[in-house]
Amino acid sequence: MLCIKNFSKTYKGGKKAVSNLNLEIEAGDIYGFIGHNGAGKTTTIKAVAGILDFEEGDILIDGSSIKAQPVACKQKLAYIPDNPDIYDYLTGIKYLNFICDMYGVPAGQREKEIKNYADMFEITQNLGDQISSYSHGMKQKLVLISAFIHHPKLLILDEPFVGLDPKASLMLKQLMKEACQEGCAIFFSTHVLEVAQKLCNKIAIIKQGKLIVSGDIDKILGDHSLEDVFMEVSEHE
Amino acid sequence: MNSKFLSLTSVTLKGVWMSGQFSGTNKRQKNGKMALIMGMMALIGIIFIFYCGLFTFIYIQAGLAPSVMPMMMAVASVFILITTLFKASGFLFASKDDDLLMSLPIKTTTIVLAKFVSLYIYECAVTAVIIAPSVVVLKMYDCIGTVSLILGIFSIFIIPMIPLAVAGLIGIFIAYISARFKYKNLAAIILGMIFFIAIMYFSMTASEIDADVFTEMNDMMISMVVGMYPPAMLFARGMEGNAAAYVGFIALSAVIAAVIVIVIAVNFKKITTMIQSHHTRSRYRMETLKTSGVLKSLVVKEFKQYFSISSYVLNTAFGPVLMIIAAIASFFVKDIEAVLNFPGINSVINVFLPIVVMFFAALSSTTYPSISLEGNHVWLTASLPVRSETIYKAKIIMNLCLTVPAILISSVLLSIRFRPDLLYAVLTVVISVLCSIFMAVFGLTVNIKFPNFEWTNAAAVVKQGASGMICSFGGIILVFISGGIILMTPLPPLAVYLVLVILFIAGTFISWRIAAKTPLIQLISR
Repeated sequence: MLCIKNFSKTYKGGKKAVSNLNLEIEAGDIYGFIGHNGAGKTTTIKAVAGILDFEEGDILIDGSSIKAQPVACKQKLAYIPDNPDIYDYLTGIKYLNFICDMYGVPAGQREKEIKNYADMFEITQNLGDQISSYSHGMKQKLVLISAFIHHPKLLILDEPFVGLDPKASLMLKQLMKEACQEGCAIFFSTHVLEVAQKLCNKIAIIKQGKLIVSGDIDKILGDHSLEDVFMEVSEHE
Repeated sequence: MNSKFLSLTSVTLKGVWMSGQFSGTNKRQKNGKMALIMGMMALIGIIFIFYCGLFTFIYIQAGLAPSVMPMMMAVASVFILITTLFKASGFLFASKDDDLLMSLPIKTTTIVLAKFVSLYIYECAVTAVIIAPSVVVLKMYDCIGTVSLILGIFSIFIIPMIPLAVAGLIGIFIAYISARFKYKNLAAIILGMIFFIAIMYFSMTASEIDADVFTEMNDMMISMVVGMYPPAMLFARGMEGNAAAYVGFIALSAVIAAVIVIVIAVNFKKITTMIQSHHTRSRYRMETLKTSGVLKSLVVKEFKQYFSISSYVLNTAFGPVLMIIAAIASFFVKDIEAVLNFPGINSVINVFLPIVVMFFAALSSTTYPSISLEGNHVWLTASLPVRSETIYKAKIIMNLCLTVPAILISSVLLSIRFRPDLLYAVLTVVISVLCSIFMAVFGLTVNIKFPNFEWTNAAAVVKQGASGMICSFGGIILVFISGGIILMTPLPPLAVYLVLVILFIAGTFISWRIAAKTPLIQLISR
């Protein structure tokens, strides 16, 4: 579903954020992407989501190149950033309707899906209010709903649990598992290692722009916790 | 307090002078862009200096030298009043960094004072461009002595005080009233428009003086200016050598400005809290949703964003609004020559009608800040499964939906009023619509070249962005050059208009090609 080939990103000024990254994610995977601050996680995620230009390497989504066919790739994925800055001047329902228009979700389906997810996250009654009146957590929930309503094949999340209340966090984990069972691939970054350990079947650890370890979580961890493995990997070159 | 005030003023001043214009670029690109923008500002300054100097020279030749300084003072004051009014919301208050500033261990009065001082320094530069050339030309022709020259130069620092403070007060009044409404932004826009039209109306009607009453032309001119802006009386007498009047002018300016700034500072937190409060119902129930095509949905989104930023509307909609008001007002004005102070205009208006409407069309681009105004949510727009060209088209279409109907309405009204030849009536529509399309596409392309996503207040993006400067003054220069060629050269007006048509079509095509080659992702990745 997602194939990152020799991806490198150097920002203007010479800073190499990611170096020769190779990664493959299959349908049904929940792939955790872990690294310290400034390791290159968000750079990689944004490149996969098609919102960061890059020169070296390629990223294929369901066989299509994000560089050559960006629109076709974006049609199949949903991206949730760490900071839910969305169109504050719209109401919640107008925002969701707008997203549905962009992804071509049929009328009957969108009403059913929006009601379902909004009830799940308990923000149905707030959908008529302007997004500018929402708290951070409410905006995050709205962005999550907008990601799930068009049933993407690839879900890319950057620190998705930040700002969510405990109930919403549980709901999100449930939705992620259900999506994977339906064949979706999930690629997400997090600093919450306990969540990654419980949720993911595969992980990748990135350090200073380079992939240090990747693969099945059971094989990587063995008898250790993810925290132990991460600390050991971080401290050694 | 002093070091905090100076530090805060320094940071705020950077926000006034086009903050974030050069973020995300390497040093070479940054220096290149800075040089281009400084060059543009220098060119605009030179043009203003030229016209102010020319105006002064003409008045001297007409024997009206004593009325120059009061007139220029009033012009500078009205200009500052209007531009600050449009800037008040989003800079003086309701700025993105207000929360951060208010949480710091700094007095609210210091924050408000820093904002006003930053704006004051900026407006002093603007005032200098208007006043300095007039004072210098007056001295060159021995119309004033050395003392008056010094007083004139010193007045650059006094003139901005009252209009700046008054505009701030009106701005806070608008914010206070509109904060009580559910649709705050709409209320702010309507109130802002009302005040703007009122200022323009009083400026224009002050010029309707019965000349027979006055034996001295200079007295008439000064009275006209004082009618428009009363403190000009003290200034006029001060420039004539009345020391008490000049000191009175300084004292009046300082006292009015100080009182208003204190009133604003005392109520700042209350106003900021009111502005940030939201009307929420929290009673929504699922309704049937309407589907739309991608382009239509994007255009609707552009409209929603446009009307959510009052400074955006006030700065860009006044062109179409003024166009229609001027067209309607022309039916109630019997003597256009007297009102516009342009002898002989009736004989040439037939030929100039396309230029007149084109002037308003040239000021009506809404696309020049539209990319920058994506701001923090540019990631969302870039992540949509939509081509960048479609996103750009939506912005252009929104612009044209505002301007083209206004052009058509005002062209028809002006044609009925002035009864030009059919050819010029048609040209009025064609030239203005083509100009509007060109400015929409050109504005977008310029913003693609000069994007700024890291802003703390939308007003700065709208008013001081490099793309705004290039678009607004580029449009005005084009209009003045075209009008100048028709007026002062033997070239047939039709030939000039034909060249304009070709230029607009070619310019639109070239601008669109450049825009379409630059996907949004490239702008974010810089």
